[in-house]
Amino acid sequence: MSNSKTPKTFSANSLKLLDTSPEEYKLKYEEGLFLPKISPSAKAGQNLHSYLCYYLKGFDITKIENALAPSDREFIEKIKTYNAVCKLKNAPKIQIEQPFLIRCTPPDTKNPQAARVLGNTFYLTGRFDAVLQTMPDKNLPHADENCQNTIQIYDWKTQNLPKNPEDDIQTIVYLYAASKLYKTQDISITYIALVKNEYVTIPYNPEYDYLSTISIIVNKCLP
Amino acid sequence: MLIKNHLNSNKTDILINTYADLLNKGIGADKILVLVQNYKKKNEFIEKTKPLLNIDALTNFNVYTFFGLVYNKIIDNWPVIENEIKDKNAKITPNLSGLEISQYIFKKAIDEIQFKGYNSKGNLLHQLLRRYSLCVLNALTPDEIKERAKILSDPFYSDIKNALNLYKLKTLNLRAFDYLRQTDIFKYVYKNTHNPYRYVILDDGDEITPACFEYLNHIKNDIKEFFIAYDDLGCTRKGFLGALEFDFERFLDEKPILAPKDTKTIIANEIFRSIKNNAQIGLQNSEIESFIRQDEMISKTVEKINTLLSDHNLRLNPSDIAIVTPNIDDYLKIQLEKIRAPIQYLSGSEKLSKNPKISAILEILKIINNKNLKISPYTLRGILAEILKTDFDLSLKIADEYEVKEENIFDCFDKYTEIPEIKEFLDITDKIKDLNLSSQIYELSSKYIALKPENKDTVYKINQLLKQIRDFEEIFTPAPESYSQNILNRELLLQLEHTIISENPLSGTNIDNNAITVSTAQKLIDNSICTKYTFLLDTTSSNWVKQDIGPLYNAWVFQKSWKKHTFELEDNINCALDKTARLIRKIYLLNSGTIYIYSSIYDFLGVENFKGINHFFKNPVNETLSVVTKKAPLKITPRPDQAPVLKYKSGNMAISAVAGAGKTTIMLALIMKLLNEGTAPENIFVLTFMDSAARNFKEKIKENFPSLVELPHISTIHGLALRILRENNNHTKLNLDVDFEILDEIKRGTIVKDIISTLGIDLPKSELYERAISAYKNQKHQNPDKLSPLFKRILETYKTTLLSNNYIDYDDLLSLSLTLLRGNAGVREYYQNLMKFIIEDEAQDSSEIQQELIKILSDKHKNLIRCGDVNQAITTTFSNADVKGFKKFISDNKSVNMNYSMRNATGIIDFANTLINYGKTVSESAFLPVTTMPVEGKNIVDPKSIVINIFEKEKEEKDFILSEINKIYKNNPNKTPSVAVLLRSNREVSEWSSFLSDNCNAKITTNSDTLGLNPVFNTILAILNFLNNPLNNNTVKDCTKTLIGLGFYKNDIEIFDYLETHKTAFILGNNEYFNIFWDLKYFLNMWNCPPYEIAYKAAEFYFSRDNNQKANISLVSGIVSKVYNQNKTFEDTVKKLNDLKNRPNKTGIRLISSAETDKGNTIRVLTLHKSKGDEFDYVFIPQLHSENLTLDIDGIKLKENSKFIENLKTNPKNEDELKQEILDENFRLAYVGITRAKRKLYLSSALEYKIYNKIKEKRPSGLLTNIPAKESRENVK
Repeated sequence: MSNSKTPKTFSANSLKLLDTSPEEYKLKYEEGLFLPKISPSAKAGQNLHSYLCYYLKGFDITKIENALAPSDREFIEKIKTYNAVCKLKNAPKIQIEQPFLIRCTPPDTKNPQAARVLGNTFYLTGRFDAVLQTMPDKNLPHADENCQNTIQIYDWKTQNLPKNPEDDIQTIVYLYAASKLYKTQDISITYIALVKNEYVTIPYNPEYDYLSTISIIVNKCLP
Repeated sequence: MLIKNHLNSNKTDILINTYADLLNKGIGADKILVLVQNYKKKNEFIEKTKPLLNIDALTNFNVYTFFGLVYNKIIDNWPVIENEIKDKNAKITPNLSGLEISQYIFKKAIDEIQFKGYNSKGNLLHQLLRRYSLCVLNALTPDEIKERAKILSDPFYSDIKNALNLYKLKTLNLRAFDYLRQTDIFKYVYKNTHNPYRYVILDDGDEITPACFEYLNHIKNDIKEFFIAYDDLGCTRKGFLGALEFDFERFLDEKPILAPKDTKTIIANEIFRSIKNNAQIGLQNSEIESFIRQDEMISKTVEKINTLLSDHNLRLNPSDIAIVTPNIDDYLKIQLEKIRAPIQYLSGSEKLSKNPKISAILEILKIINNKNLKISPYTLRGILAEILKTDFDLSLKIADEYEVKEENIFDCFDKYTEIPEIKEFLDITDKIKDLNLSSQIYELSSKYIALKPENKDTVYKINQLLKQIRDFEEIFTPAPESYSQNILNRELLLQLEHTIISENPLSGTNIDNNAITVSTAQKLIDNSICTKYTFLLDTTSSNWVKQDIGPLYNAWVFQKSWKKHTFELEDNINCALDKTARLIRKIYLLNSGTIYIYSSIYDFLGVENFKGINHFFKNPVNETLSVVTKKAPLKITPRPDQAPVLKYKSGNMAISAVAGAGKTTIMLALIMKLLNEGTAPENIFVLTFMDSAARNFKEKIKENFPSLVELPHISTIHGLALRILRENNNHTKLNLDVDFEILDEIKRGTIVKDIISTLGIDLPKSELYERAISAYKNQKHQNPDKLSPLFKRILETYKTTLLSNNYIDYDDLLSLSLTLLRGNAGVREYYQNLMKFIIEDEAQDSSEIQQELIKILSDKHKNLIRCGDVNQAITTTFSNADVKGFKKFISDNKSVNMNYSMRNATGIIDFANTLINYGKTVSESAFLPVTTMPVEGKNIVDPKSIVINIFEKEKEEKDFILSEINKIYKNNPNKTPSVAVLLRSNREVSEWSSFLSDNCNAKITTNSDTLGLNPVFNTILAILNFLNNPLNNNTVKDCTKTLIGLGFYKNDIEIFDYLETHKTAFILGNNEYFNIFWDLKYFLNMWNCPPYEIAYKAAEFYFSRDNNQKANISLVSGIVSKVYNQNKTFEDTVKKLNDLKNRPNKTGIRLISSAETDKGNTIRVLTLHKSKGDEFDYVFIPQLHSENLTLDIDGIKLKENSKFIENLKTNPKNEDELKQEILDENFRLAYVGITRAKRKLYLSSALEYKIYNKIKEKRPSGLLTNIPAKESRENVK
């Protein structure tokens, strides 16, 4: 629980809740008052993420695969054939489950709406499911054939792709975080819907004031 | 880099700066491992690092707790483990569950292993988990475990090994790993995976577990630099928490940076050295105070804290204050409610059902999954008011209706669907009835537990509960097909209901920065809570000195560093001292102001505390003994016959003292003399016959030596035996687990009843068998071959039941401590060294076993002083008192005879002497021929101080006594003469106390054990009876009558008129003008408290200002708590308490009788036996008919039961011998009764008595007719 003097730390999820319901945000993230609901689909999603993590990290997971229920096994085999997954599996420089912690100091922002945040440092935290760094080999094909960014962030979605990926808070946080972590704007984020094998890539937009957008939300929890 | 400094130094800041420097230099966060002790320290480390960074982005921190590192290693590398598991099934992720799951799995594993010879099955799980925990945390190899088993001569080594292997196999197959199991497989993981780290920062290195240290050793060659901060006198988690002192200098081959030593550190280290050497230290800025009772100690603490908080000059924040005690229990919590500041409790674990909301939710779940389950109406009231929030009066009505009608809750509720809360409840329960348990809890909690700050604790616990249940569901489902979801849920509920939320080292403690911390020492240190005012409470409690040894484990020997090939008592003491020294040193370091060291002689149940840490401290100002006293110090000028006692220097000595010789005073003088001559209190042992006598001695010594931090050991011999069993974990040598329980007589009765009903014997015989078991066990030499096959079977079953439940009975206390002393040289020598002086009171009542025990204990110093009067031996027939033993001691040793008495009027002395002479003519063995002599100028000279009456009718006798008592008070208007009525049986005590209560204005007090005669018990019972049936006006009437009778309310006829004539429930009516109405409403609002809490609060409400009864508040609540634990529901508890009301108190918790506290104008009514040791101005001994006191051998009738019990003995007496023994004892009982009177003695009997509604003719006892001392009689009719 953060005390008022300590800079707050936000994840994409906490910002989403803060954006939609500052009261609920306060209860859950500041007071620790929440009841965790774990649906069977969420549990399945966690398992799938873990599976992909171990698979892409190169662990020997034959035994795990052999023990899966036939339907799960079939699904896993299908995922392994996805273009994006194949390419990530074979990429020479890849980080799986890469955490980040970014310090945000809002004087950067030009947006007057975010003004209240000025001088109030906060942190962004999260974990990229996978990060593909194409440098120094710029010619390494992107998993998404249309995308050629140097830093390519991947995010697995068990269900559907985000409805408005460009404006999704996760996109904004992840692209901003990656730009700071890797010190480049040559970045993209690709969401991959695992069930349907759909994906969408959003490149970093130098014109977009990511920090302002984030700061406006952060504003909502200031006294 | 090595930094050697303590927990309250800047060592962590240096490490944080180092970490920030490394990151600022561009070293990747993923290359630096930071290890800290716990979750709180982890967060602090991270938060303090962040502002020091001059980079804005990093790949997060790798800051882990010792257990967090293990957890993450396993998650990150799971396939490595999965591939190694033989079972062909596999899981994508492991179940990293809590200890509750492990316990469940362990239970299943134990079921498959025979632990031959290990009896305490109830504790086996706990024992094994402890052992497993020690092996894992210390990273012991199989060889190291084997070696330790050898040191401890562990007979269960193979069984334990098999059980642990089976457990491990099961957890592997289920992929269920708690933090211990994770630690267990950690080594395999790190040995088979890549190490990413190049730098290691370790804070609190002294608290690291060997398992974690081994990991650091494993990666050592990859590490460019280590930064380690440690405290060489730290390591408070050593022993059962697994920390181990490591030689970091050797590990890194470098010298540490030493902090300059400030005064605080120097004193802290001095504290460490003193305690480690078992020496005393005087702390500046400390205040030491010791109290008789625990509630006095807590009251003082509350008062002191409130004073500190209200002192505006101090500008204190509540967090500047901490209370540290190993005994954080419900009573402490209730009493601390009076502190005017928020309080946070930090202790290991808590039972789920303690939270009223969670408890109500669990009850709802029970009925959802078992529709026809009948829950207790009191519980239903709780559900309605706490969860559904229905109107309180309506809740009462519904619960009342539910109680009366034979229907399930849902049918009952169906009649109230017009009430929205009930309708909603029916809807939601219907919606979730087929879901799994975690979903049911989630839905109910979402609906009924508002996410509000006041529910924070509840929500936090529900989350923990949900995690547990989900773990269970994840690991143990799918269920067999034959199971319905409801059955599965029911099983799970059963498993969880009494679950204790164990401390999980992976989750953190939220520290409130605006509250007073109440914590165990370890938790205070773990969380580095710095304070200005620290209150160390219960410092005489042995719980301060944690030793943690059980029959199957030993926290010292199972340390990684244990090198010795033996484990002796001395090792145990030294290890415990070392650990205590570390704890106290750190507590001192965390304090920057004053430390209050408070203790009490008795704990809240009236059990004597011993050991603890009190004796390490002395008041900073050196006071010589007996200088400062509140009262004038006791000045004793001994009479010539007493003088030899006070000249005592050493050796054995017998003191033979007639009644009234001033035995107690001279013994007290002797104790004080020994103390004044420099004998340490811990070397003086005083043994009394009754608890009350021990208490009295202690209070007197405390009055005379207020600055004495530790009193001599003063207790009954059973109290001493208990100390011997508990101290230094000696009980483990007898295969007893640490929480062995002394069977109270209620439980003992139930066990014996169960046994004999299984064998088809008449239940009324159970009391006989209880006595028989006791008589048999109390013999020094037992001969089982002499027993009948039936009794042998009963005895064996009884013994087995006790063993398997980790119980011992009262009789075992002596025999077990004797076994321990005989069989263990270490234990024996420890006590023999300690007991420089043993003073025994009432030595004539000692049994052979007791004398044997005392003989062994005094064998080294041979300074045994036995004091008694063989003519007052009145327990030989119902206990195994061995007067011959005392007689022999008198003849074998230096003996002092105190034959002068200044107590009784001369006529009474004459009568007593005549009785002795007459007794000798009837029975040679009745008395020792001693003539009591008056002290010149001291005794009242009154040859007519005896009044003997024989009445026709019982009523005449009663009326005469009543009129005499009235005369006594009338003739002594300005004095408060003490008056006593002495009787033969408890039944007569009850009769006479009611008669006198009804007819006499004076207050009546009794020594009787009958619970119903205690006002605190009666008050509590009245309130609980009311709460059990609040709508019934008859119940209210009874309750009101009791409370008015005790003087709490005015006797108001109107209220009884109302209760008798109105049909409307009193409590639901408009009865605001009756004071009692408001008070009863107040108690009704406590419905969410468990009965013992209600009991405590009700007793406090009525008795907090009553100095005579205050002590009984916690004792009676303790009885309620005990009964509640055995009966579970509120209703059954109340029922049982009503059953107990009119019987002698057999709960094992001894109440302080009014007689011990009431010093005012009261009439004491008590049995002749209980009167021993007391004295009164006027004594009445009525009902002296020949059956009550037979003084001729032909009149003695032997009961069949007595013969039966006698015949169980190895050398039974024949009938004539038995009769002779009873006759002798009757004489001595008469002697005891007579010599209680100072001014006047009234002996009487009637010629007929009504017994059980039948008039029976009676012959007067020979005491009234045969004693040839006619000149002292006045009114023989």
